[in-house]
Order: sequence, then structure tokens, then C-alpha cells
Amino acid sequence: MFPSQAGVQASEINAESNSLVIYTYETLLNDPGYDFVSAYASYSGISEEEINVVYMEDANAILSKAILEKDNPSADVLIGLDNVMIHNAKAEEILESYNSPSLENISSTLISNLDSEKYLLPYDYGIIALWYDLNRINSTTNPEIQYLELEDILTYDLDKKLIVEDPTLSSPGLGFLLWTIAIYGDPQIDFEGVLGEDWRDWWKEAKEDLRIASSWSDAFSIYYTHQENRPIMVSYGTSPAYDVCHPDYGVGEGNPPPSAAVVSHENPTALPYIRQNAWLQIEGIGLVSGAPHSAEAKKFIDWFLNKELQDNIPLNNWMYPANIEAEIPSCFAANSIDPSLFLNESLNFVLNDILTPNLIKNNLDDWLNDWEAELVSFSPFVIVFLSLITTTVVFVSMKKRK
Amino acid sequence: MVKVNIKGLSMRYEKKYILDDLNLDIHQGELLVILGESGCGKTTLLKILAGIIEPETGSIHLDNQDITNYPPQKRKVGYVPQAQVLFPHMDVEHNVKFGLEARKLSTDVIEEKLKWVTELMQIDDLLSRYPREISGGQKQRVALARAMAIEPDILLLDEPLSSIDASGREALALTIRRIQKETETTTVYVTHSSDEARLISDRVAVMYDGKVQQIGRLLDIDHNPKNYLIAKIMGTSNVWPVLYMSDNDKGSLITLSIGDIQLHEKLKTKISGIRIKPSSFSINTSERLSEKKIIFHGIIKSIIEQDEDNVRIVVDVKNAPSEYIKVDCSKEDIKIEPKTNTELTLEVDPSEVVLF
Amino acid sequence: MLVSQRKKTFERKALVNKFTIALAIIFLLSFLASFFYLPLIRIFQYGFSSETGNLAIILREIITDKVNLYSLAFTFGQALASTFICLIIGLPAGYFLAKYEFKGKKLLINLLTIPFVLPPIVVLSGFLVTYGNSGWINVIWKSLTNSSSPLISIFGTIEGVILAHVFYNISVIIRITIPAWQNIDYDQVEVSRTLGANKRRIFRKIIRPQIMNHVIAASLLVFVYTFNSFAIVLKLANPYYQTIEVLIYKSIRVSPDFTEASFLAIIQLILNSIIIIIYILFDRKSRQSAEGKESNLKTTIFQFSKQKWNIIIRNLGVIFFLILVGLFTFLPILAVIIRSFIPDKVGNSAFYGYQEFFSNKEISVLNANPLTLLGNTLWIAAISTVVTLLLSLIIVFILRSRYQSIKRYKTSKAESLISYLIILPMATSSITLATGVYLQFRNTSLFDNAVWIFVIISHVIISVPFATRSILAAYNRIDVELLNVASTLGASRTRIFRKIELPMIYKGIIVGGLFSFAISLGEFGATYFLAREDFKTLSIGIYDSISTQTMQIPLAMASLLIFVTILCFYAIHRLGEIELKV
Repeated sequence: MFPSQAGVQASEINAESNSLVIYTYETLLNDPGYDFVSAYASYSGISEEEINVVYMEDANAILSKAILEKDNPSADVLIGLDNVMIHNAKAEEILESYNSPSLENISSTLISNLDSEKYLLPYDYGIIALWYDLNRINSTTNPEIQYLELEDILTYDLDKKLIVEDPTLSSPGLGFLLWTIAIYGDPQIDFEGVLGEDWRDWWKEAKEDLRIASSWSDAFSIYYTHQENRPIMVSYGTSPAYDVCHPDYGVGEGNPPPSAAVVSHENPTALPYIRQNAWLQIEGIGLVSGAPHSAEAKKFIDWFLNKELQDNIPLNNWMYPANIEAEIPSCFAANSIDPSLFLNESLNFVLNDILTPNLIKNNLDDWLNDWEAELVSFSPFVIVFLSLITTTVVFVSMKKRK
Repeated sequence: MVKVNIKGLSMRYEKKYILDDLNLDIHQGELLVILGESGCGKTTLLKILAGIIEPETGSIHLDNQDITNYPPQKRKVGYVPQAQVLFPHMDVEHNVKFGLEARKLSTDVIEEKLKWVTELMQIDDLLSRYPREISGGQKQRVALARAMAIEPDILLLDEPLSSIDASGREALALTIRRIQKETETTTVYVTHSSDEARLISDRVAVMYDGKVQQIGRLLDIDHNPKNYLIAKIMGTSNVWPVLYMSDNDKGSLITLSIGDIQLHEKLKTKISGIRIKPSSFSINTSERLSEKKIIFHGIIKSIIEQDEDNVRIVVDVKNAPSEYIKVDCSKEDIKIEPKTNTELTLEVDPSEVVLF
Repeated sequence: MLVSQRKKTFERKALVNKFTIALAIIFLLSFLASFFYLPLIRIFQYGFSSETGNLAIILREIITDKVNLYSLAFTFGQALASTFICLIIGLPAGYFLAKYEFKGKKLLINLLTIPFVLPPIVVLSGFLVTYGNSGWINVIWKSLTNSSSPLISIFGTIEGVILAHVFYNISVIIRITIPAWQNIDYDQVEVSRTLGANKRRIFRKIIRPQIMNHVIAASLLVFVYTFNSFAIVLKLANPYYQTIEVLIYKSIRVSPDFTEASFLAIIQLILNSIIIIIYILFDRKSRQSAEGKESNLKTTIFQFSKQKWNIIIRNLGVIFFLILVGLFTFLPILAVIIRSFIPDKVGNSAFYGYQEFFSNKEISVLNANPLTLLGNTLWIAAISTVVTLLLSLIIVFILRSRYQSIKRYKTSKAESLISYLIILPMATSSITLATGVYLQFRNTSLFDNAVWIFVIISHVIISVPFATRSILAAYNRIDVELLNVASTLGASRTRIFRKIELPMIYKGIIVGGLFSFAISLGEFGATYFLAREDFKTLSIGIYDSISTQTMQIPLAMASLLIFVTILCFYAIHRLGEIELKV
């Protein structure tokens, strides 16, 4: 009984049938849940059994698995790579450009911000924001939160209340790292950023006090269970909407929201208004280069970008849909930071504009290495201990010789 | 009843010869004791006879049949190794039956033989016990019964008494002797103890340097050991190696560790040792010493009462610190007061000296 | 005529025998070669090859990289510190447990052993439940002191890692040193006391030399475990502190850099081999010195009446200490079980975790059906056990051929060859093993479609040394003379194997099987490395969901693992052959 179950799981993936293989992350459209597999099955007429969705821990896992398999790909479609991973994905040549007819309803700004060559097509987007629990942090307890700057996190000891995700393991974590880089700049590559300082200094000062979780859900459980008294976490501008609009966990439209989200408000040029700075994450769907079932894959991508599916993005994937025709529920709109504010209005600033794809492509590996090197600690305890042991050993062996 | 002829057997272990061109004939139905110090190769010889070890060269014939390359299974030998190895997971009955069952005999035959051999070895009341529940002597009986059950052509015993306590030793030795005679099984009995050989042997083969050095009836070897080493292995009292020999006008002068002995004849052959029987000595109480006799001076170390009339005196030899002489004499003959630490003079007639 | 015919039959039989043994050796070698040695060679290939740029420069960069250097230092430092602290607590605890006689002592000793035999992931769960930020200790502390900062902070701190390691490994020290204390020759102590030696001198001259080998062997064992720690460090300390294992994992699975991963794996392999060889030397020494000795330590019974105050205080101190050690090691395990019944949310029943577990529906935090995880875990363990036993029996079968060689008084070459062949798997950490298997097979369609095969293979390679050790230990207790006697009694080789060898080693086989079953049940590192998304076992399910809001589900799974593992080791214990795993 048991072996056959596993057999199903494993063998179906590469079965020689014309089943479609999709790699995506675990949480795609899953809360409370939109069954896109059966929706597509009824739309396209192919049976559900022929659509194999392989859920990975996160988007990084999708990318690394696809890279490892690139000579002999088993997947047809990748869902969930974003505007940072696209560089790696393109460099590794795992994707194939696809000019989907559905793109006519997708915002052109999004397309150009994600990948104008259309290797990856945007299906949703959102901004990375700090999400906080209003019961524990609000403008009364922490007035600085309203027009927060990243520097305030250090100044007001908010780093002791903040959970961030490991950028090597998690995409919102990576978004936050890029946020800090775009704000502070990187003198090592003559990148000014907003403030013209060094992003490493921010992390150096914050690292002892921060809590670094390995994934968004790890961070969420720390945030949610009040385990460590950390009411702020790196998440999305749409996260407060979850607390209001979710059919099971939300408080319901019209009730006071339990949480809020904030981006940063650095304003170096003393503009007459308060500018918001945010890092935009655009998630994309892509056709695998050399996909075993290319035609079916293209059909699926077309469908994934059309209104039928895109209507379900806000309340199931908790992001803004890329399709301009998709409906955005009022509860969702009222309780989230609309990323299009950053795309279209000159009042706010999308950090992606200065942290260009080219910069990211050339420096991301170094940044991640530097981040890890900044974080890794060498406790004086270890040195003391090692010397203690050495002296004891030397002492004992000398005594023995007597 | 079979006879065994062993010819030119050689066996090396890490380039050292354990058996070196060994020849031995074992008579039909006899109990041959192989006597030697540990490491002399006697156990190896036994294992080769059992077929457990293959010799490098040489042959073994059983009643003129060459069995040198036979595996143990085909040899019909009863092998009782030195350690009391019974199958720990079987009770006594199944231990004894093991060989019979391996031979695929019928149940009736097996039961019959089991009854016969367990009664013979007096272990019929132990049948349902496990090896860990019985004493050392009992274990050895079971091991013997197990070997005898298959009615072997040859019975091979490796130091069967070594792990038995003193009280059980003689009884077991007598049992072995009795069943050996009753069944007339040709038996090879390996031991390092000359006392055991004295107790049960028909013949004794003395082994060292990978060879059988002397074979014969015990008394013959006792009286006429080929050399000093054999005498020593036989455990004979008052033997000494010859350190140096020279001739003078009186005859041959032999230098021993206990002093010199002047013989009244010239020896034609080289000798390796001498023996003087404990009873050949007499105690000289007079001041005059006979020219013709050999004289030793010593101090009484201890006096052991043998029976009502006789004593054995152990005498430390003067000028030879670690040597002593054993002297047997009747109480009447001792004219001095037999006290330890008194000095005395021993004399012996040169003709009583056994040369070998 | 007859004679020569017989002789021919024997020669033919001997030839057939040699042939089967050769076949067995070839089978074993090809298994080890294809699933262990070739993967190992592949690591070396990757470690010393580079597609981009100068190899020497790349290797120098790897070695001088700050993250790598710090992690290497951390790996050593935490292993040393954990071992040292284990010794400080474990040695006196072992002594008291050997010296004092009291009711429930055996139970206490067995309870102390439990963490050590549990899978690391279960230990990690217990640790989180007890010492985590909303763990029992911190909750009690916060309510007592009314402060908001926790007493113990286990995330991203070196203390957290060391505390977890000490809790996990202290039982190794206690278990190994109890017999050491018991086996001390107290006659010598008494003799030297009559000779007027004082206590310090007696300890230095008589007691220390007698327990030293045991203590060193136990310490090396703890050192190896903590040196190769993966799950605990990955969960608790990453990215602030990383062991080499975590580094290797990340440089293959997170940001692929095969050169770096392989090079680190080689370093890990070399260091482990050195430690294992030293361990084997000391273990052999301590076994020799313990051989044939019986306990002759005069035990003391706690008494409180009619005694001097200082003795009563000393006794109370000892009792207090033992209770503390017992609580420290056993409380977290108990906590897992208890906590699995405490609802996270109002409205959930006490059995919520178990209900969810057996409800046969997909659970979102696991992204899988928990019964499937249980099923996967069980059948993987079952197949691994069967394969492990098969390999171990083949090894034993080959070693059995030495009794033919003894005929000629030569030591068997097969035996020494095999004992060398199985040392290296012992010195290979699960992550290094997984790295090799991964690099070797990642491009095969088998790896894509049936990764569970490689999970099983890595479990087998991890357990074969243990299983073989326990079967060989049983086998070596068989006196060669027994087999000799049996053959003179006319039993054929097969009959000897069936009637004598097999009944005498079957306990060893069962113990070996239970060992590999228990190892496979709880194996985390290699499984997680090879089959993160494609194939999940209970261990991985627990790891994935242990820090979610609904602790009841992972803890219910952990409790199940505790139950099954304890059952296995209870059986091993009953068979009376508890051998420590290496």
C-alpha cells in the first residue's frame, strides 16, 4: 500500500503521458484556497490527473531545482519566480520567452519591470512592507511608526521587535535586503542609493537584535504566537488585508483592522511632501526551456493570466493581480498598500527604479555573501574556550611527563 | 580398532615450524599420551588428526587408508577440545545427539546410542540441563559423550583434565581409561602433565621442537630418557643437565650445576644429562669421606614424611644457591637429628648415576 | 580409486564454496562502490575541479572566506564546549549512579538513555517546547519575574546550540562511564589506602588510569555527534552560526556551488575520519580493560537516620543533583508528549494533533497527508532494515570464510579488507554521504522519479556499520572450537550454519535490524538533503511544521516517533545487547 502511494507521487511526474508538470511554491493560491488545478481542468478539458503540480518550499527551491534539471527538464511551467530571480533564471537559460496573447491585459509597466523580453510573465505583484500588530505597536506606543525610516528601526530599537526572513532562503527576505541596499547604497560598487551610505552598517548594527527566520511562515509563527514579543515582521503591503478579509481568520470588513503595514519614508531631497519608498516584488510565470509539453504549457500560461484566474489572486494569494481587468475586492483594497501607487504616481518612489536589473544581476551574489559574512558571528566565547582547552591539555601533558 | 600411521608431517605458522617432519605410529586400541610443554605443537597435531587443520606436507593413514585430505566430516574422529565447548543453546541431550543427527541416523538408533553413551559417561540424569547449569567436570563428561556417541575410529582428547578441579580429576581420568578400554577405541591424549600420563597411558610420546622425540612405555622412558630435556618433561626428580665434560686419569669428570662428578671410567659418547634416584643417596655421618663415592654438601631445606618409615629430604646444595637434591631414606638410616637448616653430607656411588 | 574420487568431490565442494564467497564479495563491493565509493570519488572530483578560473585561487577563496572560517571555528568550538560540559555533568552523574543504590535506579538510568536514542528532530522539538521563547522554562520565568525578556534565548545564540547538544548527548557520557566506574578495581584502591596513599593520590594513580580510556572514548563519541550536528544548528543558529554540515547543505541546496560544497565535504570527511580512528583505538582499549571484569564497586544505600549531618547533607546533594540531571535530560521528552495534548487554540481538543494526524486528509502546514508521511517513514525504514540486514549477513558470510583459512593458520584477507571497507562509511557524515549521492545521481531519471530509492540507500549506508557491528559482536562470541567439534561430529557446513551459528547470532541480527530500523525512522540530514520536496518522512514533516502556530500536529508526530523508537530500543535492551551507536 505505502510504496504504491509514493510511487504515484514520484512516477507521475515524469510519466510519458502528455501531463503538464508545474513547479510552484507551497502557498500558491492556497489560503483559504482556490483550486486552480480543477479550474484549469474544466477550462481546458484535460483531466486533473494529467496536471501535476509539484509544490516546493519556496521560490528559491523552484529555481534551484529547475537549474539542476536544465539539461533534462521535467517541468513545463514555473510559477513564482520573481523580479530578482529572473536574472539568475535567464543566466542559467532555464526559461523560454513566450509572448502570451493574454499579455494585452497585463500592465505594461509590470511587464517591463519584470522582464521585457517576456521570459517571465507577471501574474501578481505587491510591495514588501513591514507588517505590524496594531495591538502591540501603534502610533500611540511608537509615533515613529507612522513615517518610519529604516534608520528609525535602529534609533527606536524597533529591531528588537522585528522579524526578518533570511534573504538566502526567502523571497520577502531578499526583498527586504534589497530595500536596505536601495535605501543606504553600496559604496563598494559606487551605488548611491537613496542616502549614499552603506547598507552593511545598518545590518551590522541591527544583527544582534534582529530575529532572522528561515522562511515567511517561520517568521509568521513567531509574530502570530507572540513567542518572542516581536510584533513587526517583513511581509507584504497586502498582509493587513488578510487579517480583515480572510473568511476564517479575518475580523471582517468594517471592523477595526488588527494590523497595519508600513514602508519607509526616507526623503533626502527635502521634497515638500512625504515620500514613500518601497521595493516592488513582481511574481511571474514562465515557460521552461525545452519543456516536454510546450504547447499545453503555453495554453496553461494564457489561462493563468486571464481574468478568470486573476480574480482569485487577491483573496487567495494575497497579492495584487497583474491583469488590469481583474476585480479587486473593496475590503482588500481598503486594507492594503496598493503597489500601483508606486508604479504610476510620482509622489512615491519604487526602489526598483534605482536598483536596476543590471545592478542586481551583477551584484546579487556578492550582496548575499556579504550579508552572510556580516551576520556570521564569532563569539569571543569560542576563543576563550579554545584557549582554555589548549592550556588545560598542555598543562596536563606537562604534568604527566614529570 | 584402528591403527594410525603419521609420516613426515610438517606445519608452519608465520614461517616457524610447529610440526617438523613428524612421524608417529599409533597402535590399534591403545591410549597414547602425547606429552609436551605448551607450544610444542601437540594441539596442532591433534587438530591435523581431526582434519581441522590441513598439514603442509606429510600423510596420515588410518588402517592403511590415506585420509590426509579428508575433511573432518568424513573422518569419524571424536574430538574433545581443551576448552569445554558445548553448544550453549542446546541442552545436554541435544549436544550428545548432535553428531548422530548430523549422520542422519534413524530416531530409534539415535535414542539407543544416546542411552548407551550417557549411561557410559554417567550423565543420564543431566539430559535436560543446559551447559551453563552444570559443573566443569560434568561438561567434560558431556563433551566426551558427544564425541563417543558417534563411535569414532579415533578419540582425540586435548588436555581433558586441565579445567577440572583437583577432586574430580582422578575420577574423570579413570572414567576415560575405563571407557577407552571397554570400547577399545584408539585414543590420543594430549597433555603437558606427566602425572596424567602416569595415570592412564599405554604408551607415551614425548614431543618438542615439532617432533616426537621418544615414544614407548612410560617406565621405559622414565628409566631411559634419551636426553635431559625428555627427562625433564617426564617430570623425573634429580635430573641435571651436563654443563661440561672432560677426561682425566681417573675417568670422565662431569660438571653439573650442583658440583662435579668424578666417574671411574672414560665415557665414549657425549651425554646431555644425569639422573640420580632419590633413593641412591645415603647420608654420611662419619667424618671420613670415601674416595670412591661422590660427595655433596648441603643444608636441609625441608623434610617430607612419606609414610611411617620413610621420609624425603630436600637438600639445598652448598655453593649452588638455587639447586636442590631430593633424598629418599628410611627414618632409621638417618643418624642425625632431622632438622631443617642442619648441615649434612650426601654420598652416592658413581655406578648409581644414570647417564643419558 | 575410491579415495581419489572422494578427494575430487571435496575439491569440487571447496571450489563451489570459494565461488559463492567470491560472488558475495563482488556483490558487496559493487554495492558499496556504486552507492558509496563512487559518490565519494565524485565529491573529490567536484572538489578539485573548476570550470571557471584557477582552481588554486578558488580553493584559497573558499578557505579564507569569512563565513567558512567562522563556521569551521564554530563547529570545533561548540563541539568541544558541548563535550566538555557533558563531561562536567555526566561524569559525576555516572559515578553517583554507579555508587549509590536506590529504588528506581535502573529506571532512572534508562530514562537518561532515552534522549540519546531519539531522532535529532524529536530532540529538537522537545528542546523548543522546553527552552524555546514560549517554552515552559521561559514562560515560568516570565510569569515569575514579570519581565518580558526570556531567561534563555536559544535562537541565534551559541548557548542555545550548546544547551541542545548537551541535553542530547549527556546520556552518552553517563551510559559509558557507569560500567567504567563499576569496573574499577577497588582492591587496588584498598591496598593503596593501607599503604597510606591519600585520596588525591589514589585518584591520580589508581582510579584515573582505569577510567581514562572510557572517558576519552565517550568524549570522542559526543564530539563526533556534535561536530556533525545538522538539524539542531540549521534550526536554531543559522545564519549566525553554522556547522560545516549546514554549510555543505546550503552550498548545494540553497545557492549551488558544487566546488565549495565538495571541498567542504572533503574537509569534513578528513576530520571525521581522524576522530573516528582515534575513537576506535580508545574504544578497543576500553573494551579490553573491561573484559572479564565484574562490578566490584561497593554500592552505598542512601540512609538518613543516625548519621552525621555532613553525610546527610552530602546524600541530599547527590539526590538533588541526580534529580536535576534527570529533569534536564528527560523533561523535554516528556514535554513533547504533554504539549501534544495542549491545544494551541481555544476550541481545539486535547487530541487535535492526533485527530488531524489520523484523519487522512492533507494538512496545509505539512502540505501533505500525515498518514502518508507515517507510511513513507515506516516502509522506508522497513526496506532499509531488510537491505541493511542482507548486506550485514553477506559481510558476516564472507567473514565466515575465515574458518577455512584458519585451516592453514592464516588470517583472512577478506576480513581485514571488509573491516577497512566499513570504517569509511562510519566516518562519513550523513550530509557528506547525501552530497556524494546527490552529485553522482542527480542527473539520472531515477533520481527525479524515485528519489526514495536514494533515501533508502543512504539510510542503508548509514546503518550498515551499526548492524554489522552488532552481528559481528554476536558472531565473535562463537568459539571456533564449537564449529570444529561440529565438523568432526559429521555436520556439513550448511548444517553448522543452520544449527549452530544462526541460533547463536540471531539475537545479534535482531538487534542489528532494530538498530537500522530506528536509525532510518529518525534519519533527518540525508533525507532532507536528498528529498526535501519530493518525498517526505515524519522527521521532515516535523521539521517543516515545528514552528507553526499549531504545535499539536508536529508534536503528535514527534510523540509517535518517540513511542516507536523507545519500543525498538526497549526490545534491544531486552535482548541484552545494547551497543552504542557510532
